[in-house]
Amino acid sequence: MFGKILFATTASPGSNNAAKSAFDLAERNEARLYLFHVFGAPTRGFGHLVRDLKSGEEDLVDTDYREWVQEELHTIYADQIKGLSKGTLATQLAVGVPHTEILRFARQEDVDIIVMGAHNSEEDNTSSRSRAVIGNTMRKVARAAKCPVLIVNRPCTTCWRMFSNIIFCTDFSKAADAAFQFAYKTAKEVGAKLYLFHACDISNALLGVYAGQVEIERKLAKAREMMQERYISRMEGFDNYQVEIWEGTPYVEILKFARDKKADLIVMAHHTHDVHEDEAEIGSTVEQVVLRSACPVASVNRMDKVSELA
Amino acid sequence: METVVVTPEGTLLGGACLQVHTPLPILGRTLVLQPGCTLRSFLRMFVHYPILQELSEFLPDWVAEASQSPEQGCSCPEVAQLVLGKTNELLGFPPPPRVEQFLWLRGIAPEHTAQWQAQGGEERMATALANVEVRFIPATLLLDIPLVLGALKHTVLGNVNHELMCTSRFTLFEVVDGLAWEFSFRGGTQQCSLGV
Repeated sequence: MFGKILFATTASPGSNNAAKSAFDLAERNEARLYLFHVFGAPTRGFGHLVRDLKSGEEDLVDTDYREWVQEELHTIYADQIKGLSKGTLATQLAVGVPHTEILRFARQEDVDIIVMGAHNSEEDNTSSRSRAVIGNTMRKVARAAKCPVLIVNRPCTTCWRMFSNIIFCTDFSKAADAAFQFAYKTAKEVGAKLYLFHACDISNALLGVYAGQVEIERKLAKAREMMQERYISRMEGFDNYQVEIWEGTPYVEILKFARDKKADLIVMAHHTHDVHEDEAEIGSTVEQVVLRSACPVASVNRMDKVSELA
Repeated sequence: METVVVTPEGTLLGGACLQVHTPLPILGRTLVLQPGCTLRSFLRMFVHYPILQELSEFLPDWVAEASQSPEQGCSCPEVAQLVLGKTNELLGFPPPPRVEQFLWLRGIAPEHTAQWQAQGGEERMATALANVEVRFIPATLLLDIPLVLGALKHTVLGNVNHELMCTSRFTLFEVVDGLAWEFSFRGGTQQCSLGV
């Protein structure tokens, strides 16, 4: 399904869960895996001095330093590297602003999927509440990437090929169509059950008036129609699916549903239908789901690469 | 200082040890846990004062799940003691400088409890020793583990090597809100047994 996988890593413990998924994906797909690391942010614009992520000290990026970092990366992921076919791993190092370099490289190599952790460190995950955001690099990559971005924030409990429950969450936006294609193709490929899920947002009042039961019922019926029209009608001969429409606060309902169905993967568009893809920061629903989800979350926002996937 | 006491049975006691009937006006009071309090005490409190469940969208779900658990013996061997602590971080980079404050719930491993008890169960020591992640452990395995309020860990300019442990106070609102935040993460197993 994937020919080229880009695993963007800080090589810190915050990337360990993503590493497991990235190497597993590469191994199962016999794909080319790019182990991509951006040196610590330059202290003054684009210079040769970088801040070493481990020691926190400034270092000069010369051949010795590059070799040392490459060796470190290979030591950290030594066990996983053993499982890859010979010649499928390429280690890439870059200097610059991490999200720019990741996106540049993904575009250059035309990768099929980017795999990342949500934070630099585990401590970030604890304090992310007050920061109210997932990692900045993650947000920027998810917003602008042309290919799907797999965000792995917590230990993945099963390997990709053994996924049995995939949840596609939709707000019926254009970006959600791309997410659907990705979820559908993945479910077909691994033989998983596909849940088509929509949460009717009834948490907000319009002009101070909350929707009544009749209005909610109308929204639910409309959502069912759209599920049929936009997604079910496009699934040729695939019947291992289930449609669920719940009401409440979208991210809360998605998390509850995912927990209930023991989801292995959640697939979502990265922003709501109200915002143009070029202007969208990562949607708050995705952000909240990524933060708490027990399984990986795939954020898909464009059709470009999804339509090419086998 | 006005306080509100939580009993192991989940009752809130206000001034002169009188039982509280409406918890909202006292959300800002400093919380005191009576000895023997566990997460089950909070479960009982949420059942007794259902209005407190409205403070977070994740609480009703957690209460429903936890209510299904056995009435006793809900504990796990990895955690001997639960600590609800607070962290205060001063961050200078990337700019602009900012202060973050948040609560966390972690466990003390059984092998560290003797060390903690040797210090008289001191709250700063509890905070320092609480390093077992409990988010992956289901509520049904945590309800009967003793719970204490820890200290405030002050991290200076993001440098974890320069931490200062301070005694602090927790309001009833902070504790309910902090627990609800932790409960929102529950679910998922600890690690894939297949490995890579």
